[in-house]
Amino acid sequence: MHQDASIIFQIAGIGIVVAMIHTILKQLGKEEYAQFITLVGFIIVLMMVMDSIADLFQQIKSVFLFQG
Amino acid sequence: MNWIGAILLISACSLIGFDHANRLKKRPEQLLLLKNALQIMEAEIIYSQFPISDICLHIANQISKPVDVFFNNIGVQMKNNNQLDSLWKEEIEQLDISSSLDRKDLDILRQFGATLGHYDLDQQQKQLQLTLLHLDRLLTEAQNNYLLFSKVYRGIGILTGILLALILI
Repeated sequence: MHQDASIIFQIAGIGIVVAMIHTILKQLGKEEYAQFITLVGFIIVLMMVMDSIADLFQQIKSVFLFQG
Repeated sequence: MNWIGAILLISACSLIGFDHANRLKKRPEQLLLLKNALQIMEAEIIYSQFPISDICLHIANQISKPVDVFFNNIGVQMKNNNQLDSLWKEEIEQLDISSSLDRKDLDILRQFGATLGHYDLDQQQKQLQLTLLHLDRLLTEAQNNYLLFSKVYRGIGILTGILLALILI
């Protein structure tokens, strides 16, 4: 549980920074780079929480399908 | 240990951003220097009519870094070697390394160097005016770029550093 709290803060920090970069690039008129940065940030965060999501699916499977 | 790494990462990325911003700031200054140098050259060619090596040395004395090195090298080396064309090209390569000037700026200078010494006074003056006109255009472009992008480069440098540190922690 302790690790979960720190990962939440980490993801929040990444979100804030990516949002700032997005805003700056958008102001500059480089929309495509802004979109790209947001996409990269999203993918990175997704990779960070992949383990937790896999756990969640496992739990759901074990509850509804009476497995493992 | 973690914190030291994070601080190093952030400072390195910020420095890259600041370096880019600095280069943007220096480009208009150096373009202006180049313009001044060519104006001096015009005056020297038309009124005093010295040999081109002397003119280059005169320009080098009157103008500040890094453009003075360019003209100084050409002036000094022309005493031994009379091939202005190849000399000019070589020195432009050197200038590319030592200054913040763009490819475009140096291309214009290279084109001007190719015309140097092939025409009479009137034609040469026209070529010089054309080069100055091109440099003027690039100068306004460089100033606009500086105003637009310098803050952005700094901001993005710092933010990228923070982002990488956050990802790696």
